[in-house]
Amino acid sequence: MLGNEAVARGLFEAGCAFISSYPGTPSTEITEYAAKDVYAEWAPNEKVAAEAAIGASVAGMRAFTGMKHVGLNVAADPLFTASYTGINGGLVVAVADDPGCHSSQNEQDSRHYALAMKLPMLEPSDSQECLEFTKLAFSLSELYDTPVLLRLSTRVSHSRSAVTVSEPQPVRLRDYHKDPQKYVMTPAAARPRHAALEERMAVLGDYSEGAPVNMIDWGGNHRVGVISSGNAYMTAREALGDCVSYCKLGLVWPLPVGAIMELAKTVDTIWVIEELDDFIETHCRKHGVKVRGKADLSPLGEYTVEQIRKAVLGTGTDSPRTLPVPAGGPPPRLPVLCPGCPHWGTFSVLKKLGLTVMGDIGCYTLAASPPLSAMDFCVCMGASVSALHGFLKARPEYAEKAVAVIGDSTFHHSGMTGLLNIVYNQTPATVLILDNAVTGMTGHQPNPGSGVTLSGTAAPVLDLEALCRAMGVRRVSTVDPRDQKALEAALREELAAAEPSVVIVRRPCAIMEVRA
Amino acid sequence: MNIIIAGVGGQGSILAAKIFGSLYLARGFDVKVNEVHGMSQRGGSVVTMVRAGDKVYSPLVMPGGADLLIGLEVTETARCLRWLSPNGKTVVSSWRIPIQGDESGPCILLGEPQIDAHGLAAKAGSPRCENTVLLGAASKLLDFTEEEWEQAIRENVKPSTLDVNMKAFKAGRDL
Repeated sequence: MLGNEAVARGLFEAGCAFISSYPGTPSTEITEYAAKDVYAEWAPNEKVAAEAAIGASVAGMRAFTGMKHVGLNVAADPLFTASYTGINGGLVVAVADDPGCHSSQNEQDSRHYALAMKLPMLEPSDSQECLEFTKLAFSLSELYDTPVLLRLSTRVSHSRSAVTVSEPQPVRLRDYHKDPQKYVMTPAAARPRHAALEERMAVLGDYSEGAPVNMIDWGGNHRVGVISSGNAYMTAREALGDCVSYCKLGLVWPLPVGAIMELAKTVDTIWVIEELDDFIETHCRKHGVKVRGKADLSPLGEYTVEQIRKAVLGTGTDSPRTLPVPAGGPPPRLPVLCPGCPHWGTFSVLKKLGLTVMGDIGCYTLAASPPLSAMDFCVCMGASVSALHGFLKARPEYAEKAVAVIGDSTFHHSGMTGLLNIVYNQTPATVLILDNAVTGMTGHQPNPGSGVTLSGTAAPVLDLEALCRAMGVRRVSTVDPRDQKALEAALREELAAAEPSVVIVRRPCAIMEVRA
Repeated sequence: MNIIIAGVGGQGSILAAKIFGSLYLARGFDVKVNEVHGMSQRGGSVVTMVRAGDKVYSPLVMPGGADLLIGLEVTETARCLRWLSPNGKTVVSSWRIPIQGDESGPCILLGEPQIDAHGLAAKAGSPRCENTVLLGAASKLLDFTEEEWEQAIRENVKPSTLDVNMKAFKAGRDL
């Protein structure tokens, strides 16, 4: 079973009854698989999804939201305070990190959120643990009155390993009572809740000490100890075998400080092997435990077996096969837009006109690479629209030679407020909304513009033209990217216009057309 | 057992990996399969890995550690040769998908025999079954019965495509 499928199975077995998520690699399949057994929906963004899940939890239902690491930035606001309110029905939030940037714009380490939000965080290392930790997360959530974070990573989410399943447990809806001291976070209510939260984290710290998911495995060697978790643990285990003893953390926050101090008394050297930041390492040092780690390893990407062996044992691996491979190796084969993709037409015109393109997140980000090379900026969901506004305030002369380009799903996610800002604070910006009626890059999930929900029921189709007009954009036009002449003419006209304009470039995703 | 499957997004390397996974799992091995999803799938290089043994920790094969390299495309096979162990075997399709902007011409793999998997798959009924043709060819190097292979394929393909996949598998096995 795929790691994400195992999380989905865990949701089913735990009696989770409400799921709301926004797609994002490598987290997407959790919600897709779960939708077969549990009520699940796609929200317009991660903040909405998290808030919907919080609402279901307050109503007494076991609820879940899943997202990629950068999605947690969007969902952070409600979760920081859901940590204060606590929950009613169990609430679990999965966040999938992407060490190595396989499919992301950064490789941020989500463990910092557990610390900052003061929430417990579980981290599975294979598919069986994905299932078990998901169920454990619901138990901990209800036992300690807290949302629980489940940290995944690309390798855990997208690897398959054997899983033993069990029957789902019946979970009834918990009673709901009005409780403003717990759920209405005015300053007067928040102060005592903060105190309760600190007490809860102290209790969870005690739980962490003896938690079965935090285990010490005395190998053949008691001189060297390795503290690790998740995929890094699997790589370390592969690299070091029984040469060392392991402290394998399933609960990565709060850390079992006492157990780590005990380990330090027994072994001569402790290595912390963790991908990305020195999260565990820093907290070991804070408690006076001398450890080795980042100074000999790296904060970049995923660890390799060779890298760990070299650092800890000082030896390399078997030499790779020497075979006559063409000098320098084959040229890289980068991902490209699919044949027949409507974005080809759009970006061909943008390139021809030599425009400065403030880009966004989606399939069309691929237009930044050759042969199109037609993008100047891409940071996060929705930033194309808002950054174009700032760019034009700094360089008004670019009004005639710069555009923002954003997909339909990304526009729903966080482009709308940027457009409202353009209208309100007045730049003559030209925004292209590439409407292919689906969330393409993550695997064709339906969205509010698709006319259908995740569960397959019909839904109203968002009227983008009416929406833009309602925000105050007077110049709204719609063109087909296959009609390059019309697109070019529309762009020339809107770039010349002295007020905000939106060009909706509409054609369904080519893959969806083939499937239909 | 460490297996690497090299190809281009959309060629069916994940399916081939899942079939290997079922095969070894049915024999009672611990199995891990690592897949590539998302952005890199869009026509980019895709490397899928299968590991089977008494206990498998990392889902990733080490460079120089693969016992078997399945190549769905010649250039991608060349890219992955560094993963092959000195005694590793290769099962490689002669199919070539040009790389945009690359004028260097067909990549030559010295000493690696190539199979017309694309042609054989087309003859079997669907050129998309080139992955199962290569599995058929690989099956001669591995100690599994035809029944075990059929069961593993059955578990992973849509029922409607089982026949054409089995035909493609046999075409590879009969080479």
